[in-house]
Order: sequence, then structure tokens, then C-alpha cells
Amino acid sequence: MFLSLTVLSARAELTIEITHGVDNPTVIAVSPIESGQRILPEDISQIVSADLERSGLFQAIDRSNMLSFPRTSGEVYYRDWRVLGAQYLVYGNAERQQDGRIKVTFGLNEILGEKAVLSQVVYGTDGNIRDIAHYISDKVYEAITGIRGAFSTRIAYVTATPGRNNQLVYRLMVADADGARERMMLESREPLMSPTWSPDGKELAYVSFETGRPAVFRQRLNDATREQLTNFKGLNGAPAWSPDGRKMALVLSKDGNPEIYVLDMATRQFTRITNHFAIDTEPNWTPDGKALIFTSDRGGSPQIYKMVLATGAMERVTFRGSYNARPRLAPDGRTLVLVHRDGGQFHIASQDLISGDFRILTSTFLDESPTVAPNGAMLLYATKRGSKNLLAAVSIDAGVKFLLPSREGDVREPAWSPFLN
Amino acid sequence: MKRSATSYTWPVIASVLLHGALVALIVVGWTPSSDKRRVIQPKYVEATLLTLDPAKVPQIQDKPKEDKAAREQERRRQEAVRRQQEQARREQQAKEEAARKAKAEAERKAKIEAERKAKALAEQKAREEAERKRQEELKRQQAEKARQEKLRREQELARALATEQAAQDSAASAETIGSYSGYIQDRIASNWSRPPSARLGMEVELDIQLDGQARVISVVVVKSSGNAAFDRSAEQAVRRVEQFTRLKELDRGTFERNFRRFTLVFRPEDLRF
Repeated sequence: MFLSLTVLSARAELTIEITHGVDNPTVIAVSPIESGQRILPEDISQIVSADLERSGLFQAIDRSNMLSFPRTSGEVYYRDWRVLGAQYLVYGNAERQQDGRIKVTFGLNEILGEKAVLSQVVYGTDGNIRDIAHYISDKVYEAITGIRGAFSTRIAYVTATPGRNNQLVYRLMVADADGARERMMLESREPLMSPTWSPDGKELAYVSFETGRPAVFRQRLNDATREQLTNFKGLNGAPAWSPDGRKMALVLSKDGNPEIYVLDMATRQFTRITNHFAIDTEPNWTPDGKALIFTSDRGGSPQIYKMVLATGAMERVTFRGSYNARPRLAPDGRTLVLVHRDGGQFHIASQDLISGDFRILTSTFLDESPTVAPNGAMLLYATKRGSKNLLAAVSIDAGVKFLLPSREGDVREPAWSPFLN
Repeated sequence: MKRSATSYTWPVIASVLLHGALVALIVVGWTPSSDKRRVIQPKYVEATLLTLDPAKVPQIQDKPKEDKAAREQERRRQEAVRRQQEQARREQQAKEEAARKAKAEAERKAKIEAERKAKALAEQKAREEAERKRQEELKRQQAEKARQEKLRREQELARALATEQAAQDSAASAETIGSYSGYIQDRIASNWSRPPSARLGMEVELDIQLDGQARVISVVVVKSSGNAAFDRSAEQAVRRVEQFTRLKELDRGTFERNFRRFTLVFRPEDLRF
């Protein structure tokens, strides 16, 4: 361990530098908002506790071990929580108001420092208890980690389940980030692929084979209205909305081999971006909207490239190994996640675009389709367990991995929504 | 009485002898002119015979002379002798008186002298005593000075030794401090969970105070990183340690000087970016 001692002349005191940490999960207790008579249809505290744990940054204390159930800061008896090793405590109180709405007062106290960190009120209805819970999770997460919580976001994905006559039925689904409140957006007997979110979180774009060949569609979430954006011969795929929502990058092979185009959503004009005999695919915008990151095998093997749209300047980004594909940039614009082949196995890896730091984040096989949470802390990807495809999550710092519950069939191609509120 | 009897023994003998001698002189026809020389004789005797009482001197009755002239002569002679004796006695007395006086004077003088001497002696003694005391004082002072000097030297030596020891101590101490600092570092690092918002280049400075049992009693952010979550993670890392048990192994001084209060700088180097 790196050790450096400095005696400050002014204060003549010993100074010890701490340059390493362990980054263990923060131990947190979520005292039940309702412990006696229940007025809410769902257990908010349990949802909050699960949210926080799933982030990988927290370890929640089991309710059965708690010595007291404080509902206000004044009821917090710190010793009760210190003995449990808790660093933070979330507590709250729910009241039903005259108009039927639910008022939840919640707070966050730091146990070791014995001080309140957060105190807020949130209103809701019986119909959005989970929204209240995710909101609380977001606030608690942000207060402790310094990063905006992404528990109130959603994910889109495609399922394929055997239907009648053992024929696969494809469904485009949207669910809460924790996999709950799953909603079907589209059902098709033909493959559905590559769902992606509009920057405002109100629409999805995807590839559907319903017309007999791949075509890019956009669809509003609230009223399910949809529109076909492409109808070219050959490949139509990998749509990606620009950060400002005015353009869409996609892949078309109408001119021979797969090339990247940009569609102006207002004028419906397509602009060809790449022109190479190799395959160029899987475009993704940089957060500033000025460049595209994509996969190309123009160098002999699939690697990630970056092209600045204004100048057409191109540079290769990845150099490690013979297979790096399906790039996605985290919101910070510098953490690139991708599918990396390592000794015949496909893993999700991250590469820092500035430092070049490269790390493999997953240990499962056949990992594909990484998608980064809007807060940049987690990513979702599709993987295989046995013969089944399912979704898994991993923190970008590789601290935690968990599998998302999937009710039936295969789950593929997750896409994490932007912040929705 | 006895004493005076004894003291007259010798004059009586002398007187008898003198008278015998006078008879003899008369017999051989000594001339009176020679008497004068004879009177000198008592001088000698008188010098040794301090007193002579003629009254007590036994008279030896000479045989009466047939010859009247001779008797007259004899009478005159005796008268002369008597006068001479008287003279001698007076002289003697005078001499005795003088001697007595002289003696008294001498005695007085001797006494005075003795007194003087005694006084002188006393003075001398006093002087000597004073001198002795002075010398003693001087000696004492010298001894004291020597002692002081010795003490000073010893102290100097002790100081030099202490300095040397301190140098050695500080060398040993630096090692000790380094080792225990490493311990503190390990304890905190193993309790430091950085929030995901932590970034390379962030730095928070904490002022830590421990109690005598090396328990954390105060954690104060002296210089914030600007990221509240990062600052809190550092604070918590220290608070989670609760007590730096091993610091209790340190001697009191080293603990008080170095670890009662110290500064921690959290500057992550193992983050992605």
C-alpha cells in the first residue's frame, strides 16, 4: 500500500494519506413505513430496500433484525442501528389524506455521525405506490452516493416465448428498472429487434420483421401509435436517436453493404455517413451529438470506431483482442461499454476513452447488448443461463451483478430509458 | 612557719661561714682595705639568698680580746661589719624590693604580656578561626563551584546524551510513527467505501481526534472535496474504525505527540477515473 507521511509545518500534525478503499456496499436499514395497521397496497420500505440493494452499492439490513421501527428522526435511537452495523437509516411515515391521496414523509439519517441527511415529503395514490418507493430510493441513493438515482427509470426489451404450435411469439416489453410493472407494447409472430428509447423517454424505436423484411418503426408509449421509418431493401436496423431527438442513426444496406446513415426526423432525409466495403453497424451517439461510435470490421476484425460528423474524421477506438462490438457510451461520454470476445467467450467490458483503462465486467457467457443506465452507474445486458436468454445487471465498477427476474421465455436486447422525471 | 624556717637555713650557714672567715682574716692580719672587696661577696650570696634577717642570724660570740685596741678595732670592725651587713641587708632589701618590684613588675608585665599574649592568641585564634572559616568557606565555595561545574557538565552531558537519545528516539520514533500510520491507513482503507461519484483527483482533508483509549471522538472535514457523498464516505471510514486499538501499544508520549490528533487526506488512486 502506498504510504506517504507529511508533517505540516503550520499545524505540526501527522498527516496520513488514504489512497485506496474497498468500496464495500454501504450498510443501510429501511425501517418499515408501515409496521402496524396497513393502509397501503404495497410495502414501500421493502421496495426501497430492494432498489438500494440492487444497485450493488448497498447492503440492506433485514427487517426481522431491527430493534425498533422509528418513523421520524426524533424516534431514531442510534444505538439500535449501530449494533446492527448500519451506516444509514431510512424511515418514514404514511398518511392517507382527505382526498384519498397518500402523503409519505421520509428521512435519511447517518448513524455514525448521528445526523439527519435528508427529509422530504412525497405524495401519491394507491396506483403509484411503486413510483413513490422508487422516488424515495432515488433521493436516498443520491444523498449517499452523490449520483442521481435511476430507480424511477424503465427498461425496454424483447421476449420470445413459444406460442401455439410451438411458434415463437415476440413481444416488445417495457418495465420498471427493477423489472416490475411489465407492460407489453407490441406482439408479433415475426422477430422484433433493437428497441431504443427516444431522448425524452416517450417513444421507442425498434426493428420489426412484420412486413416480411426488417423495417425501423417508432412508437409512442402512452397511446401505442406507431410509424414505419424505413422500408428499404436489405438490412434496416440498429436505430439510435440523437441526444436532441431530431435525428436517428441507423444501418441500411440499400447501397450494397451495411453502411451507417443518419435520418433527419423532420425532413425524413437520409445522409450516408460511412462508405466502406466492410460492415459498419451499431451506431451510437456521443452525448454531445457531434460524433458517432460504431462497429466496423474494416480493420479485419470487428472493432469500435469513432467518427466526428462535422469533419468525417475517423479514429479506431478499441485495440484489445480480435472482437469488440456493440458499443454504448455512458452518459459521462468517456466510459464505453461493449461486447468483448475473450478466449472464445463473449463478455461485457468497459473502456475508458481517456485513460484507455479496459476491464471485463461480466463473467457470464454469450453476453450481449449492453445498455447503460442514465446515471451511468449500472448496465443491463442479455446473457444465457442454460438454454435460456435472460437479462442481467452489473455495476459499471463491477461491484455487483444480478439477474433480472424473467417470467417466461427468452429475454433479449434490453434498453435502459433516459431519466423520465 | 615551716616555710620561713627553711628559708633561713641557708643565710644562717652563710653567716656562720662569714664570721668564721672574718676570724680567720683577723688571725692572719687582713687589712680592712680588703674588706671592700669582701663586701662584694654578699652580692654573690645575696643574688642567691633572697632574704636575710640579721636578727635571726645566730651570733657567734667571739672570744673577748684581751687587747682593748684590738677590742675597739674589733668593735669597729664589727660595727663596720654590722653596718656593712646593715648596708648589705638594706641593699639586699632594696634589691629584694627591687627584685620583688621587678618581679611584680615582671609579673605584671608578664601578666600583661600574658594577657596581651592571651589576647593576641585569642585574636590570633580568632584570626585563625576566621581564616580557617574563610578558607573553609572558600573551600566550600570552591567545592560548590566544582559541584556546580560538575553538575553543569553532567547536565551538559545528559543534554548531549538526551539530544543524541532524542535523535535516536526520533529515528526510532519516525519508524514507529510510520508503522502505526500504516496501521491507521490500513484500518481506514479497509473501511472506506467510495461512492460511485468518487473520481480521481478528489481530495478531502479530515481532522481526527482520539481519546486516551485511541477511540475516535471527533471527525471534522477541514477541506472538502466539493462532493458531499465523497466527504461523508471518508468521515464514515474513520467512524467505522471506532477505535485504533493498536495505538494503545504506543508509549504515552508518542501517542500524545502524534496520534492524539492527526490529519487524514483521502485521495483515491485506485479508481477508474
